[in-house]
Amino acid sequence: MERVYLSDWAYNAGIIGFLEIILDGEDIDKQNIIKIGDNYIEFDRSSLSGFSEKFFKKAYERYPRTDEVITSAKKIYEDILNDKLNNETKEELNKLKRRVAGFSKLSKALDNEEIKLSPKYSEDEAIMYLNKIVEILDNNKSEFMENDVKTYLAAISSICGQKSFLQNNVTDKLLERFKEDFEQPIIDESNEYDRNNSCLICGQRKAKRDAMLDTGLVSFLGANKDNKNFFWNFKPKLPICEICELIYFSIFAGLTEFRFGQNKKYYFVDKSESVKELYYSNKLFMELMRKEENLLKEKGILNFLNDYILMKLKEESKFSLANISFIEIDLSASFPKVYGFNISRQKAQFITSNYKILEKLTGCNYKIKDTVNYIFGSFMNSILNNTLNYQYLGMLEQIFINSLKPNPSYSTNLTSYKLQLFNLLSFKYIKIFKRGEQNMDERRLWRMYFFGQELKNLFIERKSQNKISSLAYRLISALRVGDINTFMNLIIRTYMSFEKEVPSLFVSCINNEEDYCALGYSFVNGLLGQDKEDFNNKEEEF
Amino acid sequence: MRFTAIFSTDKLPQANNMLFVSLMKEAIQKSNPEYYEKIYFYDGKKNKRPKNFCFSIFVKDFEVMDEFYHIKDKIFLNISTPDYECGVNIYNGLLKIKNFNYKNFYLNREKIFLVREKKINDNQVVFKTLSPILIKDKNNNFLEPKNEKFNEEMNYICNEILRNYRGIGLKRPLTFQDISLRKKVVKQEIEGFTQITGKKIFYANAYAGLFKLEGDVSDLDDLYKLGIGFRRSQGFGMIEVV
Repeated sequence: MERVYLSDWAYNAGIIGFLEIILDGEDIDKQNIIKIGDNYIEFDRSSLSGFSEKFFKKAYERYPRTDEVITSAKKIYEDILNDKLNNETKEELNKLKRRVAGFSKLSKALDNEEIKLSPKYSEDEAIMYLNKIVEILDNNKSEFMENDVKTYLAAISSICGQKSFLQNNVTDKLLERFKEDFEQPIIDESNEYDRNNSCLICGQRKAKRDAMLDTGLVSFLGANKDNKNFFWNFKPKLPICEICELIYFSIFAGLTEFRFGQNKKYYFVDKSESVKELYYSNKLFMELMRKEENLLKEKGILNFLNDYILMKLKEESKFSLANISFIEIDLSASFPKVYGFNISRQKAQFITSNYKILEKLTGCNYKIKDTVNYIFGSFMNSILNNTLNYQYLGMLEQIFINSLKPNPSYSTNLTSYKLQLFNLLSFKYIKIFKRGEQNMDERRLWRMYFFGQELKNLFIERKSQNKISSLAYRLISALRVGDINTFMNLIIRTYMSFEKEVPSLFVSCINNEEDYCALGYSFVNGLLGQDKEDFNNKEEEF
Repeated sequence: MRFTAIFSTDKLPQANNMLFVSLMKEAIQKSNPEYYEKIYFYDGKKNKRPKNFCFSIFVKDFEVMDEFYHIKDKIFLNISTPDYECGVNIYNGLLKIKNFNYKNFYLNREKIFLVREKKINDNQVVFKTLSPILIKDKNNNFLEPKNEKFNEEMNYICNEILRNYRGIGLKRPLTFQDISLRKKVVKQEIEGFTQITGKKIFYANAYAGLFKLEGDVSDLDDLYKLGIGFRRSQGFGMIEVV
């Protein structure tokens, strides 16, 4: 039996990938292929039988180009038969043609048979072209599929190096090559071992002879000749055993993939408490990613991560959440970016108890020209880093007011109602975490919000609603610099102009700047007020 | 916070301070009874602590009759306080009083507006009185500015006023310099005084005009808003920067 213990995030990602591959869809709690310990997995070498097929299957699921082209060709073929060659079908066919041009193996096979689609193709020509594509792919499907796997893994070169079948000179029998290099020698125990070295990673097994943890195995890990000056005697040798090598080779399957615009990014949720915890965290993440894919494109990954964190926090707020890391692997960067979180129990409880409010605020953003900034992510970061204060809210309020101008340079999907929710959370957060108070009177904030709305209605009655924005702007400016006198003078002057009483709530906490900010912003939010209906509409519009 | 309430009436008593004191008290009581109890009573007795506001009255175009003034235009009640709670309570209360009746004198409130306060940045400021300043010694003798005790007693009461408002008294002693103050005898009809002395009218020797005050900037700023001297909440000691 071989044991593999949890370790750093990349190794953990390898373990999750390994599990994903070897379980091949089986329920982790019901399977008997592998034993799952608290912080390790244990398996018999013989259970690796068939690993190569599963490995290729898993990788092919990520990039099923052959099937996609077959499906697409068949669909266009059907469309041509049903509705002749209309513009829409032509467009589809041109798209397929471009895809085929980039599919080198298929393209070469078509060239060999001298099948080409001329610029002004006829219906018959198109049909023949499509039939031939399907025929070639169907006849050599396993070969094409293997090739897709190689293309996929080679494309994610920030993760995989060029070991085994990924080498450029290996062009056919890829699965077999993988089997020869990894699966079979492990099952047969036929690998030669390094007499002098144990595996640097697990420390339990003998290292495999001539195997190294180098950038050929994982592009961002290990050593190569470029960094030999970091090593003793300039010998960058990091011996590794056959099992750990396989684990590292499986990293790709442990990562959640997400395409954002033109970039593809890979994510891994690292939680080193237990294997099952790690497995479920990533499983949940992958499922959410798949389910919400369309939504994600709208919201952006940062906000989605926050949704995910919220969800996790809600589930696990009873426990202290420590050492959760999100690893982002950006193909445009040489090294993966690692986002780490350490959340105290108190903070987790805070987030859980305000889950519904937080949930409403996900997706908030503002745009400066074409750059979209995600508010919720920054807000959550401030909470996690203990840096939340009213300055941030003040900035949002000003952006919101700026966005209301006739030709705004800013646009946002914020509403005064959402701003009020941000205000409410800031107020609660500051009370609990900065001042240690447990008793809070949120009702005062809402009362103030409604006072703001009442004043707004008075402006509307007098047909002077154009004054609302400028008043709000000046009130916010005063709040941002903590100038309570100016704020109060503006309030009193406005109420006097309407011959209305000034709500005594304004003076209830005049000596406490933070409470005053919360009340002040509540009032401004009410003044700028939109009703909940407006809030929903605006959210959809954006 | 400095604001002015405009009233219209045809006549006003010559000793009118207590009329406006009564108006102010009713305003505060109407807007916030708890606050009223807090500032005017202590353990069921009258609270003699300095109040955080002062006021002055300006009457435009009037004629002096035997017992009262005949008002041809309007009456301006100026109120100043650095305490927003106090100011908001007075303002809200005044809004609730459209017509005010005091011993058969009637005031009709018309308009209330906020007045912009001046910013004090210097440790020497020339003020003019909007209502006369009243300074007295421990024996209740009114002091004139030339009196050697005047500066000392003025410092005492200013210290009390500030301590009551902000918890800290004067940061450094004030120096008072008379520029052109002149005596003004203010007639007041105070029930308590009448009961004790049997006299109907209480005459207070106060001083109105220009004077210079030197001291800490923040002290001067707060005193500008609170007023200086005794009986500020009875229509004395309101000042304006020249």
